[in-house]
Amino acid sequence: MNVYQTIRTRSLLYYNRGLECANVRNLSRAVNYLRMSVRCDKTNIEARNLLGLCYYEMGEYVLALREWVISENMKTEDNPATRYMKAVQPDITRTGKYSQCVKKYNMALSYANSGSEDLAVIQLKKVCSMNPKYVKAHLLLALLYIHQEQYSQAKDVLKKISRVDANNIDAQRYMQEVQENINKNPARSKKKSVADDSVEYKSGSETIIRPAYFKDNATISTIVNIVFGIAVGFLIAFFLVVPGVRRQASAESAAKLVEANNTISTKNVTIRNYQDQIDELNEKIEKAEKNSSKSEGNMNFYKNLLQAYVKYENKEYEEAGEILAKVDESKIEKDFKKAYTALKEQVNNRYLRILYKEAAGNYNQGEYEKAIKTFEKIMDVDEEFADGDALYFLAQSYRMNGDSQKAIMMYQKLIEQYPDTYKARNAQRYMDQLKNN
Amino acid sequence: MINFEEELKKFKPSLEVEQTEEAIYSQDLDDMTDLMKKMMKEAEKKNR
Repeated sequence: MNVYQTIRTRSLLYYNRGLECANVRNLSRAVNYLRMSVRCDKTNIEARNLLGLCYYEMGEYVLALREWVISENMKTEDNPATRYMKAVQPDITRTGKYSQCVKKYNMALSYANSGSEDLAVIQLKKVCSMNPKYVKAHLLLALLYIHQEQYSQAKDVLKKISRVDANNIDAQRYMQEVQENINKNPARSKKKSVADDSVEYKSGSETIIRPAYFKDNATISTIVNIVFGIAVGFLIAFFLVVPGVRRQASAESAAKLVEANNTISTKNVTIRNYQDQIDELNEKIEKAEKNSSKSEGNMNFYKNLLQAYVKYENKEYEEAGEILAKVDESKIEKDFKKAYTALKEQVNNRYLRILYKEAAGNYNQGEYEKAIKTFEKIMDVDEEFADGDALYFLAQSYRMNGDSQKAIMMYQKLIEQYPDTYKARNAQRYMDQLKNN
Repeated sequence: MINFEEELKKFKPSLEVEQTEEAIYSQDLDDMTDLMKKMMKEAEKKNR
């Protein structure tokens, strides 16, 4: 056997040992043997492919890929490495599962190196849940747990490593450390008993702590929840719904108020128009009434005037005179003024003479009251009738009738209108007598 | 007793997917046969 054959035989020997170790999941040792095998003979395709498989099983996908690529490069046909690479290709993309795991692991390692162990533990937990065969991540997690003196957790992680890589040297060292610490202080790793307030148990890689006892308060809690719900609903209605309703109501009332104001203003304008029309009509009515009364006055005037004329023609001078005495001269139009004046003069001449005659007869018979009435009629028509005789006998009638004041007034008037006359001197004398009495 | 800091130093970042090509090309593929060949060449050089 020459040297070359010896080397190849050595390579096969290492491969066989590696294969034996791999069969019992002693992967780290298998890796060592297989690496030695390919170091002896790089063309040992079986050894290289198995090395890749061991790397893959330990979660080192890139290293596995490296070995398979080299293997395929050395033997292009009928090489299982090609199949292996196809199988793991989806996980080794940039966004694949392996990439995520590696990134998180590297980040966790960075956290651990910078002293942020809690963050590192969180990241490593995620990595271990994503890839339970990632030995390196589990080892680091176990180391961190040991450093945090969480030995039970570390122990669990190390057990998982042993299921992937049975005799991992580092894992065994850590486990020894853990066991020693657990033996030193069993209370630290002891799970709390049922008698405690809470119970701790494992669910996968998570440690779950829950209360030891659950009280069945379902009925009470249901009632409390209902009451609470009603209260919350009431508060929501009070603070959210009611203000909205109020705002809406106030907005509606404001809109109605504006509408009502508009209606009122419109009505006011209409009323004002009606009022103006009423005022205008009232003015017209008033004018019409004035015209009507004026016409009626004119009618009465002309009627009286006609009656007076008829009476005069019938020689009923007294009635004609009385009618003319009632006529309001101010209403006479200019055109009729002359006719009226002429008629009045003719009527009054006869009328006043008749009255004077009647009054004088009454006076002479001592019927002074009748005489006074008749003389007053004469005075109403003509105060200067019979050159003041009517006035003189009116005063005398007053005096004889006992009405001294009116008699004095008449005497005074007579004295003023007819001074230096016989009647004035008599009037003065009678007036003095009356004043002295 | 494990020294945490020393143990932590043993952990190296895993190779990321982007580093695959680099990992392949940087791999030293020389085996024992290659070493022997080198040794023989060196011996020949010395004999000359």
